[in-house]
Amino acid sequence: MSEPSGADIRRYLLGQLSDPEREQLEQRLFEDAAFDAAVQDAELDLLDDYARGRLSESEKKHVEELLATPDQQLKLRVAQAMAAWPVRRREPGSWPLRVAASVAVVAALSALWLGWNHSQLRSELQAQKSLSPAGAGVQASLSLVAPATRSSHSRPQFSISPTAQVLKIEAPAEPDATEVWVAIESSGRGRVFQAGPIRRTGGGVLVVWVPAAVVADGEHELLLLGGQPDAGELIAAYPFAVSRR
Amino acid sequence: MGGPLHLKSLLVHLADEGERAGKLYLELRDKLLRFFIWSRCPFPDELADEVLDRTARRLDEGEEVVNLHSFVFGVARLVRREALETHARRESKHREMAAASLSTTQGEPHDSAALCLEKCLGKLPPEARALILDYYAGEARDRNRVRLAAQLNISSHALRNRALRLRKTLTACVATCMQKDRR
Repeated sequence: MSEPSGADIRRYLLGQLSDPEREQLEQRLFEDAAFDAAVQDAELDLLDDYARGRLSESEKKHVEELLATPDQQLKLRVAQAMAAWPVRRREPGSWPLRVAASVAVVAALSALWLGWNHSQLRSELQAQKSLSPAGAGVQASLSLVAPATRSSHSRPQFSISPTAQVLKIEAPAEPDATEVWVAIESSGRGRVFQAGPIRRTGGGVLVVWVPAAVVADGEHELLLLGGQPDAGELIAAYPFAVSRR
Repeated sequence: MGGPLHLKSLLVHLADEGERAGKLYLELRDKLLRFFIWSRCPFPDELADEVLDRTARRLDEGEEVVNLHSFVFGVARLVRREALETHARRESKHREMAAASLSTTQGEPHDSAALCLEKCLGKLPPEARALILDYYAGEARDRNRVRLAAQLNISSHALRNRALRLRKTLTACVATCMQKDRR
């Protein structure tokens, strides 16, 4: 084996290398810190795959052999919690009241996050101005419409330029929703953006400016919230999907 | 066991300055621990200490060591062979215990770990939280990481080190939180 590949590292962790291959890889492990980090990373990927049910029965058995110490078992617990995290977070009522007690902490963090988002947005907008006065290529517009029902599968797809730096997202708002918070939740990532309070325009539309970098390719929902982001009532949800071309 | 005097020889060999030597010692011990875990050896903690102890003793006896890490690797291989040969019965018993322990872990509700994860993610700065969730996202992992490195304008190695550090911080936070929950 010359330069061990990612597949070789995975086979090593699964106990599937021949003795000479294993010794060669292990020697590298002791002498090359970057390689050691790569193997540690591959181990976490393996535990994540185990937690997400992506391994064969035989691979699972090999991974279980790596769980002989409390620290290793803890790594698996974290992997399992991470695998369940986005799903659990989105299930209404699935979180016990203990989470509600942490809202104050989350709200404080949200304020920091908001500050970060705003400064990010400011720098994005600055970048937009400096790159192109007309905004072409750095800004993309997404006009959302309310789905027929909350459970509806209709999800408008938007193709945006890979060079877009800022997304202008417009969504209809009820007349009584004069001032709302907005959040974007992304499939597999949870909440990636929030901002507010935002005022409804005269035309009954909310306009939200979002750094394009936070909206990855995939499925998302824009949420309108009637109060502070982590405690406010959900007013509306607008599913959408983004792909870069 | 060699004791503190032997340990001092090893520390001196690792670095001139005490604090740095201590840090390198712990890193070396962690590396050995991983080596024995990945080799599926029983009692990896004890074996890691045994390697360090034997290495320190050899240094104390005046052995010329040019590359310490290669030397330690040699000792570790020897200790592994001895452990797997002479402790076969002990290993089998240990695996039974580990399997029993694992099945207990899997049978428990994961609420405590999940709640702690939520809390600990909340303690991370937003950009760190986004990074760790993105880096370890289940889908399209490799493509995701290339994109992430490009977005952050850092190499894939730097991204991996950053993610590893964050994951260790997160795991330590979850461990502390779960301990508090148990009390």
